[in-house]
Amino acid sequence: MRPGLRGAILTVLVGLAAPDPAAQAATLILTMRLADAEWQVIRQDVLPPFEQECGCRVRAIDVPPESLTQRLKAMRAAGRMEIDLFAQDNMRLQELVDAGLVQTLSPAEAKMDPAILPALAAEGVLDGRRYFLPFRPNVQITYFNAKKFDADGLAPPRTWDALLAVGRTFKAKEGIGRVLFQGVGGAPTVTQLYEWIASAGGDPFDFADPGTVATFRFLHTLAPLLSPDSRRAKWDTTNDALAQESAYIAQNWPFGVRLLHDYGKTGIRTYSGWAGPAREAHVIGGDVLGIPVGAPHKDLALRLIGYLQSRAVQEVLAARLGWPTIRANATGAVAAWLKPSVEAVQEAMRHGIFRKNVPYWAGYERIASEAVERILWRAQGVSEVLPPLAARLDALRRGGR
Amino acid sequence: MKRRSLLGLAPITLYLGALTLVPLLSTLWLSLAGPGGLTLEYYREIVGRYQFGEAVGNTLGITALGLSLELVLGLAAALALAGTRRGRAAAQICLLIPLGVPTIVAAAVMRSVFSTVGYLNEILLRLGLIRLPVDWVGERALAIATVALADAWKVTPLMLLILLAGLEAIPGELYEAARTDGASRWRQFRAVTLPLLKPALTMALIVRGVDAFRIFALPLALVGRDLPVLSTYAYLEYIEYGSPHTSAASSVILLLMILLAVGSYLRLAGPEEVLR
Repeated sequence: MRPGLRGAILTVLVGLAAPDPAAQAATLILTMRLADAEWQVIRQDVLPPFEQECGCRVRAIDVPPESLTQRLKAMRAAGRMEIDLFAQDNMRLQELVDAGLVQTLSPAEAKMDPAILPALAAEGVLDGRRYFLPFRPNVQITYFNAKKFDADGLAPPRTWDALLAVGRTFKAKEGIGRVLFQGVGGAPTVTQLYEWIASAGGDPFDFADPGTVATFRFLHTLAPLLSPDSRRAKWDTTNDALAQESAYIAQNWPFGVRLLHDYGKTGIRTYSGWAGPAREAHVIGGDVLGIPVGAPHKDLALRLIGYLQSRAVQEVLAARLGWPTIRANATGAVAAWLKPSVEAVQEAMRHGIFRKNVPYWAGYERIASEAVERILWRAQGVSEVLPPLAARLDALRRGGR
Repeated sequence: MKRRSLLGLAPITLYLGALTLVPLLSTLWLSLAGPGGLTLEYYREIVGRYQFGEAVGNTLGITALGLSLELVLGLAAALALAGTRRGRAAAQICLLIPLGVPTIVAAAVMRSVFSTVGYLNEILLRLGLIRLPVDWVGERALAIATVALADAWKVTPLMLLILLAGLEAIPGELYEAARTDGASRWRQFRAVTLPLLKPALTMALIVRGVDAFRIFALPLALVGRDLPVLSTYAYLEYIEYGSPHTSAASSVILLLMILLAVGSYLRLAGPEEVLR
């Protein structure tokens, strides 16, 4: 065969075999960390209408907040960014910015619907630049076993003193602690601790602050009244402890409401929680949306952000999952069984505080976890544990890592 | 011929090089690479932490206790099965079931047994043997024992399989000769079974020992971070605290511990046992 003819045939064959770029639907990769029940709603109810509208596919992947940075770094190092959009814990933003992994958004790109709550709209600006956009605020509420409380004529505690009294009553009656503190260490413990320190009027980043010291003293007093499961309690296992009745009262995110309902645990009710000596305070957690540097489909990612912030989506999330909403106008129909917990969430949000985004959060988490571990589980004295940790924390703050 | 043999070895060499040697060397490099050049700073940092000391102690405790349990139970089951013909296949299948259970499922099962509201406490309470539920993973020593027991439940069948194969390789004539000489069963066990089972025992102890040192999912799922072992320590350093250098340093220490343990055992048992 003549070389010219062979080349022409090959060109035709390659042309026939190659897909038409216009006909190929783009696949957008979105990462989040959700519970199974939450993923079901996102995958079945939220994403399909968007896929239809944009003519694209959205692959939603579960990525824990603690490993997102490493994954993005690995993808960048490999020269192949695969993630288009991520929802990330609002406490783990600084590390993404410091590592240069997230895109800054221009005012036009960051333009938000005026119905988005101003307090939440302000979130996502770091070092004077807008990197993130609000998606899902979250706040911990308190779950209690109404049957057990009623049996002992107890009311859900509204103050630290009342919490101690409840703990003492259960311990005296059953010989085992029934109050749960998420004492496993790491993010669950530190989130709860942060909230308690704030409600005592302390500075969570200063272990010599009187409010912080008072919080640890209170924890030391509470330690013998805690459920043994507290040592292993984190966000998911807290639901187990409540469902199996190894704990009668615990703080946790609202995702447990649906789980407990699905398992027929209707006797577990919710309310906003208790106040410390200074005030009632609840950490506003949740996820914000960001676009990685080098994301292959930035325009589509921006469209998806707008869609996820829309009234329709926020109403689905509120109605189906009981998620707090970022909008003032997304108060759609909520199922009757979800209403009390939605009210508890709204009440907790009224006492909401944002955690400070600091570059040394991972180091802080380590030191705070150690303080809790030694004071709660090793019964070491507060005045013995805190001073050296305060010095370490101070050095960490000055070092900035 | 020689060239063909070398070619035949290429895939395994490539496999070992790409998937074992390169990650190993990268981990070693990561553990030593400081901002200003090679450093032992990350080793100093973790060795200075009390949690790391506990992780080393817990790893050794779980390995020693778990391995002892598995050896005793595996050997007892292998001896019982080796002397049985009827119903042996059924018994073997039943005994092997835990080996097929994924570790995380085994941990979930064990949690329902050992939790404060679990089956074990319920049984003991109903029998009146305890007045209050016991937190089986609350105290460190108890938690080590619980994890070792849970691990033994899952992996003793592997020990059983290796030892059973070893027992069946022992020629029956040796037992006949021993019986003719009037040796008791205990004497037969000591003089015939144990010495000839040594290669299988060595293999079983090395295979299971290396695995026991690397135990990860079971303590994490059963006890949580309250019982750190070296592999969970390395994992949390990387995932939770974003510190790949200290994570790599603890992984290298784990590797050294494994090499030291295997080396010491081979020195005691004789290296020819694994080369047979």
